[in-house]
Amino acid sequence: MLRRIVSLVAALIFGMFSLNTFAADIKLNGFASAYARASLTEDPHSLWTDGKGVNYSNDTKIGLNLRSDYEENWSANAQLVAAQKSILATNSSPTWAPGFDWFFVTYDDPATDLSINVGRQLFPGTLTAEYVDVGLTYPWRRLPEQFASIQPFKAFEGVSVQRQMNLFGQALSIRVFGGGGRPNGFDTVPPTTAEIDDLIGTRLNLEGDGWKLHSTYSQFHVVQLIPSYTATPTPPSNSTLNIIRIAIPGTIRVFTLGAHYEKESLMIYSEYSQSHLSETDAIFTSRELAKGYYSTLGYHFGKFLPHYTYSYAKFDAGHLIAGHEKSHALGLNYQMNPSTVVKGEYLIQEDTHGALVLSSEGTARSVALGINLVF
Amino acid sequence: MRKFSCLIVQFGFFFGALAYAHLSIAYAEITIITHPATKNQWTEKQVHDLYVGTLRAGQVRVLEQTDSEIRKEFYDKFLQKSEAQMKKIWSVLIFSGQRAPSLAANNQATLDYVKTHPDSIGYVSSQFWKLELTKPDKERPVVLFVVK
Repeated sequence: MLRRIVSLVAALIFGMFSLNTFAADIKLNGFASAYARASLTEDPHSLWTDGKGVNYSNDTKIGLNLRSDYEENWSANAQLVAAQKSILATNSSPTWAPGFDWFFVTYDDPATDLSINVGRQLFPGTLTAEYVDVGLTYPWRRLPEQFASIQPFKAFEGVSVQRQMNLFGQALSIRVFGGGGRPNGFDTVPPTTAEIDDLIGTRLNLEGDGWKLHSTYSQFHVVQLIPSYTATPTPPSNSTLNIIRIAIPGTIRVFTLGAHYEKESLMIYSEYSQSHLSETDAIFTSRELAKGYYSTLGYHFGKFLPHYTYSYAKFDAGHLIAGHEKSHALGLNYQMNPSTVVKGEYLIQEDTHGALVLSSEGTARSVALGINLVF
Repeated sequence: MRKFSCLIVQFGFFFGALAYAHLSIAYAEITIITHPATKNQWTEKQVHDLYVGTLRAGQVRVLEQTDSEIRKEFYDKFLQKSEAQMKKIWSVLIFSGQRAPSLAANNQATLDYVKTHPDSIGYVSSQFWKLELTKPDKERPVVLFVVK
């Protein structure tokens, strides 16, 4: 109920701002990505095999950002994104679904130096989470998937409060957030949905010119909905979609620590994340769900940026896809102009899974070529 | 007579080149201006951090010029960043909903904006600013500092 009130309030205020300021100070900015990716191996045992042919839609998207500054302390922000909603869909049936990825209202209080956001916001779980769809802002085609899959969801509805302060000449920002809702979860066909409840968390950023340290802690409850197809016996044969509800008892806790350094010509990204499930009937019992990390090293040669990324993730025996995964990615970026970057990638993904629903072990190799731009 | 004409032309080119060089040198200086109500709030480091995104701006309106010539000078001399680096920095701020710069087409547009928006900061060429000082204007913005 509270989440619905928060979303409604944010939507009403955003609408009010838009009407009042339509002829005034509304800023529009956009971004777009287009990629072609081809599998070089067809290991049927690998989780990462895309099948034959070239896939054009998994990382292709376009987005529009709207911002309206109202009076001295208020602003309204929203971002509309159109992207394929399924990583399992084939080229013949991508499910493009434009929608508001996030929208919130911000109040800046000069007296306390606090900034308050109300509405739908991106979950600040990783270094790049709050601008994850804008490929120009980071070196990879996408965040290493082994690591990204540890993050529980993409967005939530609620409130966040942030304060920035000066720490030995550098900027320290502390953000506390809470809420829940129906976040953008893993992309599947049809999309799995999960109700997030009682989310609370905190994000700490310490940054200076060319470097940033980031850490996030969050905890929440979840009820996950998983699609299941049952074939009907009579022709024409159809599949009936059933939703299996799995209420996960206990509290899920997620912790991430990351660092980014980019100065002169050197570029380094590195992050570690882990998630735990605490059973409600044993407060001090904690079961590890997943943990993983990645490290990226790159070097700017003029407009070229070659980089290498290693990623590893381990999923608990009780996890849906228990096992471990790792990947090696070689990338080469070319900065065509300040607003456009071309990226090439050679990717090797290895996985070993075996439990519950999915069992696989294999290696997948792929190449990708694409472009990211902002406008 | 023909030789004299050639000499005049050559001198003309020479002095013209000198004048252009003088103008270019003067244009290379950039003056950072702000609304009179906010003059005492911003140091050089704070303005630098506002533009590179490490200082949260609240409702401070930071101006960028779409005139690429002076913008490049400002990035190079004061921020010590390339255009690609600044585009990435602004993209992070814009697409995470933090803030977006206000845009001004040229020096005059920057001046007009800063005069009418308290808590705004912008940059103009020092050559333009010196010309502005010769005009009577009670609401003229104030200078925070000059980048040479």
